[in-house]
Amino acid sequence: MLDPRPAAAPVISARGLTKVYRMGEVEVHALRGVDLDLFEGEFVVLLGASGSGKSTLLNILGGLDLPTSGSVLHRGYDLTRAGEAQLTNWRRRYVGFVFQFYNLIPSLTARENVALVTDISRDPMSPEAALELVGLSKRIDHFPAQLSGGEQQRVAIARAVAKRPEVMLCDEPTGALDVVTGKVVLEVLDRINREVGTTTAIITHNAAIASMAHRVVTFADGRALEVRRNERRAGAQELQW
Amino acid sequence: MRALDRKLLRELIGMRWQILAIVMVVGCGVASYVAMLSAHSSLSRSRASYYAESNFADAWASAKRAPDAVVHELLAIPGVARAETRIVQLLTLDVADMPEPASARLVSLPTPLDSGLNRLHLRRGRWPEPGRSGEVLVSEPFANIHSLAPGDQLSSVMGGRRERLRVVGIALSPEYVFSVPAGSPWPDDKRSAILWMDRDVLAAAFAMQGAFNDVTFALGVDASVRQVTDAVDRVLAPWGGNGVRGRDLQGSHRFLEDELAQLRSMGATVPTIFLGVAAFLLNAVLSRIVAGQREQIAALKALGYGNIRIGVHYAELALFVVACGSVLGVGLGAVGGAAMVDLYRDFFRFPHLAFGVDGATAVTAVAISAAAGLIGAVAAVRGAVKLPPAEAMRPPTPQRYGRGVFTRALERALSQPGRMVARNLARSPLRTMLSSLGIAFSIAIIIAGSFSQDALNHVMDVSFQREQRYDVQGGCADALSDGVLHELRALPGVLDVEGQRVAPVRLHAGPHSYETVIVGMGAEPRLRRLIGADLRPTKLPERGLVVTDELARRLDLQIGDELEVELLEGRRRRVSVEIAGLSTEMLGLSGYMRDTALRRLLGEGPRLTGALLAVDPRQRSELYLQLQTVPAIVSVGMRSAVFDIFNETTARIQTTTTVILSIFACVIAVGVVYNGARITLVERSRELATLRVIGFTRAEVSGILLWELAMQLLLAIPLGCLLGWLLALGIIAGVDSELYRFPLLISPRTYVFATGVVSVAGFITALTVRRKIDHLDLVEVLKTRE
Repeated sequence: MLDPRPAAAPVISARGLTKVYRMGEVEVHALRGVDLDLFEGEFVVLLGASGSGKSTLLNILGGLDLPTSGSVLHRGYDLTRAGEAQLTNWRRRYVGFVFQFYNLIPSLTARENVALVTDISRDPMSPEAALELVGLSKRIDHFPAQLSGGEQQRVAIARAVAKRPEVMLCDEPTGALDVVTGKVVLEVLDRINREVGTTTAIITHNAAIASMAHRVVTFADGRALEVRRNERRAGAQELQW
Repeated sequence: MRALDRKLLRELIGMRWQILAIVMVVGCGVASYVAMLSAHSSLSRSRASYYAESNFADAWASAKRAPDAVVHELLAIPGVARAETRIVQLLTLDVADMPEPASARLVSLPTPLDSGLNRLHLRRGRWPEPGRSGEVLVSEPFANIHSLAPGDQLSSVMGGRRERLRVVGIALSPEYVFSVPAGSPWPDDKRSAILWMDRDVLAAAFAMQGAFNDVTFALGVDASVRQVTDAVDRVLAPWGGNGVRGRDLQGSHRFLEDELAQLRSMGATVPTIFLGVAAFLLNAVLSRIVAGQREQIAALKALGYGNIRIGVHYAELALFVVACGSVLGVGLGAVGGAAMVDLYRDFFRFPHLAFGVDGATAVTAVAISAAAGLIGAVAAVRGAVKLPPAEAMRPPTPQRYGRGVFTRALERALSQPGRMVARNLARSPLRTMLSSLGIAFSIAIIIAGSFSQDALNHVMDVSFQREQRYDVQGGCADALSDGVLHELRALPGVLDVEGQRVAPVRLHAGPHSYETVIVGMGAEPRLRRLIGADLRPTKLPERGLVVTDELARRLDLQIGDELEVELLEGRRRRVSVEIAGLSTEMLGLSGYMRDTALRRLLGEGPRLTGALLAVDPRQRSELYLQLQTVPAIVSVGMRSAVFDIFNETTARIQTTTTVILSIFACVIAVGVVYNGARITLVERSRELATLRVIGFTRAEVSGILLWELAMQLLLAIPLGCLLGWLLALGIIAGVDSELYRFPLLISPRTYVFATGVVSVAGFITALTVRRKIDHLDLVEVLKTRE
């Protein structure tokens, strides 16, 4: 098993992140000072109940949202100082996203949804190769509406991985799926992490998934409460929930 | 093809009906604009080139009989570049295919024949041989209607003798694009002929050797009619001159100008409104479509697409719709405009009348649509990209619903779905309002497009039923003693006779002046009545002048004000007269006086220039024959003919325009309602599917949406009627015609029609939406979030 070297420099390094939303008259503290590093080749699970601030953290790490205070460095490049256009460019080059609801473009086939990314990336995989990687070679010309939830999520993963991102950020990737399909999706993510070496962070409220990770960060109330290292990473098929 | 372009293509195909509806809306907006304005510019251009190539005169004057040498005095007047004299005679003409006589204007030909001002266009045949009597050219419209060809014969009483006239050629003249028969307010190609004849022959027949009674002028570049008027009047006064008329008072030009002005004002207002409404809808629809894709936009952003690229993507959607709409619109506009010009071809006698789409107009229409579409799309895209992608991907936070006083009272009476309907409408008032406004605009443009028919019916009713009650009108060449009335009364079939004294005048009030006629009538005229504002006959006061309310407005006069009346005949006195009353007339701008008062003004005894006859229909043809034997009568007009001609010309053009505009308006209306409902369906599909999932039946769920649509429609109806009324008001204000005035009159039928069309559109839309709801894939809708 390939273990990331803790000594290696982090790919992404967040320090002192806070995020305050204002909802009407109420201030919501989604993040209350979070420090987190994602290391090269690492598979990290961010675990927490809904409302614990983990989605907010993921969005900030991926440059989809800006923190109220704190910094996010990608190999020394401070995302919190980047403008809108720079963030867009940064996402385009370095980050792959997988969302709970897949967010595929309904009017495009599986191949075209992946092409959406390869069209704008430097040195991407071919859409066919990316779909092969997630085991969907046979459904390549299907529209999202013709695919099951698990298949849609695998297309989303293919779309994320096709650009050969440095980091893959997955927000409840199995949240909308049943156990069997969920496991298939996790297996795909695991295989990509192992074979391509993409740094992968999954956020979930499902504690069972944690055993797949190199490292598990538990969230509650906007803070990282605990960081745990798994001695042995479980395979996706071993998971039970 | 790049994936994003494929997305665009697929979405366009997926939304094809909606897109088609918007394309139709834009197309109709562009088409009505292009059709009306291109028709106008084509007609204007044709007229301008016709006038230029035929040396259309700048001014006209007539006299009783002036010696030829007077022309040198006229030419010496500063500002007069050319003056050409001629002889013009009115006469009645027997035509084989018509029981009643036509009225003809016999005009002498210039030498050389195809020279000078108002140059004739010989269409068929040849010019009359100089000196050979009985040879005439006939105006083409008259010849066409009566199938006259070179070689045919006409007969007329000339100088007391019945003469045979041989048609040798057919011609067009810029002076008689419209030929208005004497005594008629309306051009009538069927009953009014222009004949041209060799000058010497004509002079011999009417004892006009060495003299003229009509003169046409070309003015110098900087000269104006006003400048030369006094001098020309002075020169011609001893010879019975009766005033100089510029182009603005020349019968044909005036009518042409009026038609063009109307076309321009209709063409500028109605289609601009249509285009505006189409643009508004395009804007609204696109922004809602884009807003519906906010999660897709967020996903694209997350994948690394920049705001500009996303903006361009949706701008392409907008531009595609605009491009299709523009192509359709310019195409339809060309067809519609050509159809309109074709209609005018029968009516505007130009030698060349070619329709061309006006490039600048088409570009303007397309640019307005493109701007509206782009603004709509870009505003929506900006709204979507403004949100951080993370937030945009979450479902929008539930809107804040509450219970206002209104809904609270209402809710007690409503079921749960009823409450949803009420709250949805009340809690997003802006959306409700915009939807209703869209529908209201469609109602309004249908009203604006078709109300003129109501107004026209009213004009016809008032003018031809209430005011004019005679059957036949006879005109004299000069003011004659009223003895002729006895002669007329004795003719077969004549039930009633009324004399008329029509005096040409120029009215002056402060800075304003206007050339028109004063009609002298009896105390209680039976055959030509005056109608007041209440549409009832009014009595002519003993003294003072009654003018039409529009003329009073133009001269800035009120009852009790004094104005100067310049008499354009006899001793041409200027007399001060008081405005004694106003009449509500829709045709023409004349003044009316008691015959006794007018006599005093003119300083003459009982004289008349024409007579109105009520005729027994059974003896009509007999009467026509006999009328021609009355030497005093040089023109004969029929009320039914004027009515018919009004119906055939103005009404036909109006009706065609109305039909074209109504079709466009209906298409726009259907497009609006359909799109509104479809977008509402997309926006609400999750909510509706949820209801289905928790146990509501299809009928109940569609009920909610359909009720919402129905409520929007109900809200739109009064608003639409009001907007329609306002648009009609605007259009009427834009129509500035001397020939007739449109009252702001919208019949309940028009309101019902407009509301009906939109309601039917709503109903059909509701059915298609209902089908969509029936096929709503519950699980998919709830599971995936587009």
